[in-house]
Amino acid sequence: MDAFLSGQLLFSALVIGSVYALIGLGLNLVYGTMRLLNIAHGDLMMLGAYTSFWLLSLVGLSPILSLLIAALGASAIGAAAYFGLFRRQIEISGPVEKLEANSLLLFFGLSVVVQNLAALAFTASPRAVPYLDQVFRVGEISMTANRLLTLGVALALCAATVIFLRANIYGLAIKALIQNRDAAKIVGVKVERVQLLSFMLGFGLAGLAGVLLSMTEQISPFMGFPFTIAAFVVIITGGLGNLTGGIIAGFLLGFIEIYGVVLTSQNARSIILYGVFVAILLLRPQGLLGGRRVVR
Amino acid sequence: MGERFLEIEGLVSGYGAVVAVHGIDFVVDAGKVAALVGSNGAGKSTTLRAVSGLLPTVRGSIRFEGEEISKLPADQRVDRGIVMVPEGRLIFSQMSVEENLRIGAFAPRGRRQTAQTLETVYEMFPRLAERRRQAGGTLSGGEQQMLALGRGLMARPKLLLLDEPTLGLAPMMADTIFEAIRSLVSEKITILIAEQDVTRTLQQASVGYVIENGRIVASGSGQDLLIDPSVKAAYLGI
Ligand SMILES: Nc1ncnc2c1ncn2[C@@H]1O[C@H](COP(=O)(O)OP(=O)(O)OP(=O)(O)O)[C@@H](O)[C@H]1O
Ligand SMILES: [Mg+2]
Repeated sequence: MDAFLSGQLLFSALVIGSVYALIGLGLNLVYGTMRLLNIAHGDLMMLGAYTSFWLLSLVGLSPILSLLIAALGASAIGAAAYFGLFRRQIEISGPVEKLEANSLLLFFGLSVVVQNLAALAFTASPRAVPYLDQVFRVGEISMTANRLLTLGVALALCAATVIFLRANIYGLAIKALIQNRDAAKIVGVKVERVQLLSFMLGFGLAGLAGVLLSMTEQISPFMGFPFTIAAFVVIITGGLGNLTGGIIAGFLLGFIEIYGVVLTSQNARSIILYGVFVAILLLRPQGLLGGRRVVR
Repeated sequence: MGERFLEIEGLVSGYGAVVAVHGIDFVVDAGKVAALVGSNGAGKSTTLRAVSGLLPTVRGSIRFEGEEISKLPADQRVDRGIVMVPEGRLIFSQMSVEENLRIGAFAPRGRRQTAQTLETVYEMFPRLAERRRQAGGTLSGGEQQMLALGRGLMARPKLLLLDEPTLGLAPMMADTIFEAIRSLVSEKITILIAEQDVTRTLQQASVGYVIENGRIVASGSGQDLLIDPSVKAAYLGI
């Protein structure tokens, strides 16, 4: 029971939760505005992680600077994917279900290609260059600078996104598009531009999350898939298209995972993740936190 | 013939394979109120949606201020000043009242003057000002209609397309909406309206078009249509 209430576990849960919140937010933006199911989301993270890894090990560039480079790179990939694969799909799509199904196939293809290209280019062997991993203590809690940095950056990015969605006219347009596509058109929202923006933001956030992860975890070309799953658990728990709900759900999942592992074993980690996924789908398919509600 | 403000010729539109409007012609003059009347399912909403760009123009032309706009996407029509207040309002129910209004000013023509227009709308509908932080979906039906109208005004429209603005409203609320429409006309906004309150609409309209089964079957000044025996029989229940 002591261990259960320890600040140590709380800190771990917050760190992983903030990463889940971040990747959920990116996935939710793309799903909410266009109903596209991006199962390559984790692979974008992987690319972000390699960007940071290579820049650090080859030229000694700090991952803090890689954040910017990975964000730009991942956004550019987002723009390319939008223009190359999805713009037309969205335009000609009939019913939403068909668009969802088609997008799943397209993104699956993208995922396979990206993973295999990465394996060709970087080999399949896992790598790690820990960064800022000196341990220090704050009161009872021992932490590493990289995990503290992860938490800080992920929180700041979530907050910045939420503020953007409230204060900026394009942020409002994203929310409008999530809620009602026809109404967004009627009020004159440049739907194509907002869709492009959502792609770039969503992919960019995934790339950023990858850089954060590279500081603390081993990376490999196939590291993305579990995170794709985690991101889907997050947005389904929070309610599809519900951006605030997703952020809360990210932290919730972090807590479930960390405390679940403590109660069982490290090996149970993915079972817990998939377990939550299945349980939510069976018990509350509309999400724990309600339907399509957006950031307010 | 000189150029007309809005001129529709041979408009065919509908929903995929379902053609709902079969080649209609009509004109709307600047600064006036034009009315589309007709029974349920006649094709009034379809016509307005085609003019706004929400539905495709399958055949025919839509000219606005002398330019063909039937192939433009909806957002570019808003840029030119054609703004729709749709049937069923389509407000953003989970965004606040103020956010709903602000997004209405997305088009550059409105965005430049967001703050002033917001003040004007709040003056016109004080109830919206009182509820500016409230979620759109928590408003009453009449308040939502005010919000939809206010949101349309935020784009500084030249031509306002109003689809059933008083549907389902209590008489008091309907009065407020009609009053607002009158004040818009005095501010030189042109209005094309489809409305189930035929008498009241025709009283305000300088021209009216009667639609049946996707075709225009009668037209004339609002006053003439009001006393037209067939219109009386079909729509006024007299
Ligand atoms: N989304 C849709 N898909 C297919 N057909 C539709 C759709 N909406 C309307 N229709 C059909 O198009 C025709 C014209 O409908 P429209 O909505 O334009 O009528 P309306 O004159 O606005 O009627 P109301 O007074 O009831 O609003 C109707 O036969 C209707 O069934
Ligand atoms: Mg209608």
